[in-house]
Amino acid sequence: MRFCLSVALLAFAPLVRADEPKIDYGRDIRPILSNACFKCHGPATAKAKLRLDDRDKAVDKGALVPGKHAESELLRRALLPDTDEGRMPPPDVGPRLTPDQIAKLKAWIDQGANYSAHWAFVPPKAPAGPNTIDKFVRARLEAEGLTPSAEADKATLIRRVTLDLTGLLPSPAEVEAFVKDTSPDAYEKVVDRLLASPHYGERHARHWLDLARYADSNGYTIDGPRQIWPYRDYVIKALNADVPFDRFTREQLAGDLLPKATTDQKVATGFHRNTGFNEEGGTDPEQFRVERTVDRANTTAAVWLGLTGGCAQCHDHKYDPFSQKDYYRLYAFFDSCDEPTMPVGGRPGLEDTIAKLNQMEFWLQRNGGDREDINRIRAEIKREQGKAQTTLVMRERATPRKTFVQIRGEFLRKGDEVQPGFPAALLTGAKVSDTRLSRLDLANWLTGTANPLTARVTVNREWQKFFGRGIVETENDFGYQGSFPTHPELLDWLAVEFRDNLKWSFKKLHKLIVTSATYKQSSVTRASDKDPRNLLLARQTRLRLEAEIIRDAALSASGLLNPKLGGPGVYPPQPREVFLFTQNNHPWVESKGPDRYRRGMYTYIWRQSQHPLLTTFDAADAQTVCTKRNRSNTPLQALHLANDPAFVEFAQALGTRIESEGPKDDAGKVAFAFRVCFAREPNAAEASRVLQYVEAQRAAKTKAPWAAVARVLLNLDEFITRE
Amino acid sequence: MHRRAFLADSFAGLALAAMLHRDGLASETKWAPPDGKPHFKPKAKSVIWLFMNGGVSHMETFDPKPALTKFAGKTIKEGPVPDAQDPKKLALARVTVVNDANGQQRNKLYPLQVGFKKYGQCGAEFSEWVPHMGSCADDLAVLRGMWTTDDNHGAQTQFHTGRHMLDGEYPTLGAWVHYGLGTLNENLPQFVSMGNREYWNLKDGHYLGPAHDAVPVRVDPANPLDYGKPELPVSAAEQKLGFELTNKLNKLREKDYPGDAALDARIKSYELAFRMQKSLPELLDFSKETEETKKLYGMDRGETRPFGQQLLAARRLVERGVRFIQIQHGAGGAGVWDAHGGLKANHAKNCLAVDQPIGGLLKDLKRTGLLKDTIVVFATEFGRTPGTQGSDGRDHHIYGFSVWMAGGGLKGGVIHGATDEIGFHATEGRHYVTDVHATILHQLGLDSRKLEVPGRKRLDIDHGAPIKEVIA
Repeated sequence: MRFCLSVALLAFAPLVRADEPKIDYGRDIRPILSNACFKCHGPATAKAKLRLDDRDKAVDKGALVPGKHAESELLRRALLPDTDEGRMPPPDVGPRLTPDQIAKLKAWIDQGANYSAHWAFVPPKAPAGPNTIDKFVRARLEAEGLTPSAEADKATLIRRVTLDLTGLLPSPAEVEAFVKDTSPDAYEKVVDRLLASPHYGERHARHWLDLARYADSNGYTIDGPRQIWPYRDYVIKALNADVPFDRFTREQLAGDLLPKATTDQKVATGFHRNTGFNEEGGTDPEQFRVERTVDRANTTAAVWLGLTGGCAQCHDHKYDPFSQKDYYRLYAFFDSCDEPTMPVGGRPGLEDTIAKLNQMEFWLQRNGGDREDINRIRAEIKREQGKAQTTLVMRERATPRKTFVQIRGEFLRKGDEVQPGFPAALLTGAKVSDTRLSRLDLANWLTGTANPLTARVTVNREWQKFFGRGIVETENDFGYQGSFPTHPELLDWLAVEFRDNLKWSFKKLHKLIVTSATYKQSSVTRASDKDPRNLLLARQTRLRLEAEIIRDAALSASGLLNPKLGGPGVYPPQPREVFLFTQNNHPWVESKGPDRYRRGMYTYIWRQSQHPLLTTFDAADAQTVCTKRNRSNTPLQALHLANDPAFVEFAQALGTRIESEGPKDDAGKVAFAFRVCFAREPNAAEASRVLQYVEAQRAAKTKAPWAAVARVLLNLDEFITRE
Repeated sequence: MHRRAFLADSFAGLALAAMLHRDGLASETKWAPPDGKPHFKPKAKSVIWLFMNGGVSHMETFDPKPALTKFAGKTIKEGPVPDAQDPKKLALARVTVVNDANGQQRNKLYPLQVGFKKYGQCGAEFSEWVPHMGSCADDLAVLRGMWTTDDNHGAQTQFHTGRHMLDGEYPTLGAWVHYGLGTLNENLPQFVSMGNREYWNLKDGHYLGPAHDAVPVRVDPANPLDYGKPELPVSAAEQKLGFELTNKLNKLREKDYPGDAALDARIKSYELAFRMQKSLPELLDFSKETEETKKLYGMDRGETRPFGQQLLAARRLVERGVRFIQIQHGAGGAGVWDAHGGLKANHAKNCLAVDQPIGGLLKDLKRTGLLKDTIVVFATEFGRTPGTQGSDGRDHHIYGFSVWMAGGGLKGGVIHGATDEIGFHATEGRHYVTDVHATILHQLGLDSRKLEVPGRKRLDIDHGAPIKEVIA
């Protein structure tokens, strides 16, 4: 009886009940279909000629009967028992849909089974103002019945913002000045000072270099050295000068194509020269050129569009609306480049000489030239390059290469010819040109107002720097499989604000973020925490510092920091057995003198065997684009901090500093050490513990008790965390 | 309408409004990292993963092919499997290094370089180069139908991760196990690696993070770990004081940040670091092992000592509950097994180096009862060509090769799968490398689909499927 009644009720249910919550296709339905159905009934494969990504086709086939979920084949099949062969997804393909998913599908069909475009592929619009970060965050908190946290205390705040903006510790004097400054704009003054610091550029350059896959060596088996640090220095300089992001984009993707390109603009094209480079004899240079070009296309898609291009290299994307042709259109932008080594300074004409030699080498390799000739040319190139500092750049070829779809991603299997072009699914309002598009067109399209992704993807990644997570958690995937923004309106407003009102200024965007109440909250977890992952930002989050910043913080605390900006990579200590264990044959001649105390970002990066501090603390691996670092926690990290000779040296210097700069009495020294390391005073329990330790060290006749204290402090969780 | 479907339907209807209301937050927070417990009842606790770098000839070890000797010098077309090189059958290869001198088709059949015989009750036929492993034939589940897709040594990474090198970097099996299962010993890392690794196969965690990298351990009690000891001699007492203060101050900070999971985890990992530093030298000190045991592992002979001592260390690790021990044999310059020339001398030497230690390990695990819940895996990136390279070598071969597993609830004395008469194509019981992963995860009680990380879509081929035929 119940059975009949239920069916009757369903059949006569009104199409949309007023009280029924509105289903959003992109948020509620697409993830279900994409995960459970599209693989067989989607853009790439349409089994039984059914496509569920296309409303008309799905309706035609009766899979969906808008307004009538009970008549929709989709639901009928999904509800069949596991024993029925007709169940969808088939039992051997995927698990049955959950009751939650079924309920959503039912409601969606009853509400008309409307498809809406994927949110991220529609250009962002700013909600009606006035708007602030806090307005959006608080609205969501309120809706969930949560309240924001109080502002963090001043000491925490200045340490946090100094680390976030410059990657260094605030000095005790800076802390004191801020704590004592009671003026309403005290914090803003600190922020302005930090934004003007040259170390700001270093801090944010290192984030950007993760995207650029920067390294000082070529990778692959030989992993020979390369000179491209002028590119790294370009990034530091550009960020310090607050070069707007649209220009920053143009210079790096197409600096060589800008009218009257300056040396800096050409150096900037090194962005796409940071790919690996296989120097192995006997390999086909064309194969590796293709591999580098693939990497350039993938990196561009990841950095500006937040999309994973890699799948479409071999076949039409199974989840996102990107065909293999779209992929090779993007690839074609980078297919027509030469890869010269450019002298920075040096005699006129040197650049051309080197370029010609490079071409000869390439030609000989392709055409099976004599090994001795190739080696002679290589030696000649080295000699010429030795005459000036050089860097790697991109340069457009006079005659473009023809680009073909590569069947199954194999470069020897050519499909249709393609021209450079933008992904069709993103062409909202962009003009299609008759002439061949260049990298400059690409850069302009990426930063143009019609592009739905670049501004969103970029502000999201910037947000991630200050909160540990993007508004879209999958910062590398804004496609169908990516996560939905926790604060969609905030994301869109920030994107539009960054592009239109702040004119792509990173410094202004960063100021907007770090002066928000949301950023300044305390990071203490409250007892009744309904949101343990802090997705809704009812507090700040304690974040472990990045590998390089751990070194930088220890350098600042020790007073040893050499603040020099830029220049060739340096070699901080690395124990011999550690270096040998990585099987690297390259020299690691420990830097002496001031170079020993440079910031972590200047450590020479052998792509295949990075310094263990970097790998142990999750630095980017420099193989492919890295849009987000892990913040892992391993026992090897504890061992590293305790036993790395560099940190022992820093601890000794901090010990000396405590003795020479701190007050005479022990308690005063402990307080001084805490101010240096944590920007705060110790509490009574902490002070008494440390004093006991000092006494024990003295009793054991330790030579430098304060160095022993320093060693402990540099090891603490608090030291390597920004709170 | 079926009853079950109806129930699901009506339940869903009731829950809708409530569900959508909490939807945003709920769907975002639904994911949680693994809790360290198996997903179902496990049959095994630990894995010893032995990987032979360079590519072991399946014909000269676990899949002897007398037809090679019979048709020696004939072309493949003239042999018993004339269509072996039909391009359609070769299509699964995904080339990494084009025009490489290696990884090519070799047409002239090369005779077996060693005799073979029957081993054990099961009568499995293995080569005469593996007598010690052969003597354990009744404990082995040999997989003769393996295939892979990278015809160069990127296949090493592929065997560990299930992904071709051109796809990028992916977590290895050991990393997934480490990610999925909790610790059984609070004093030791749960994922240990011994032996050098090729540069393209150095790490394990990849997108799971270095927390899931194997901890590289040297069999040297004086210096087992990178950064494992202070560079200056510090007394144990002094070190302990420093550690105690660190721990105390971290815990005091926890009072200001109660319930902060990362801080809590940091405190725990400092404690583990300190214990590890203390327990590893003891673990690697073999002085309490009997001479008989050391001999069993071949530690009395120069040829077998290096590998033997790693395997003895592995047994000691398993005894103490370590989950996954990954031992690389012969990495460096693509791998010592890579016999493009002089196969006979090469494989005779390499078999000698590993055969007795592995046989010894299996016997030792068995007599101590550890084999019941320890899986031992013998693997390699690919086999070698039935045809000859140069005058006396074999090239890389991805279309059929052998690996084996033993212990941990797997069947013994089983040969699963087969290659054709010349050892070219896997014809029966064909398995891609991830089926080995799936089998191991299954025995450990893990469902790899439940280990996924948000934002990282895994494909069916990444998961593989357990090989039911070898599960007891």
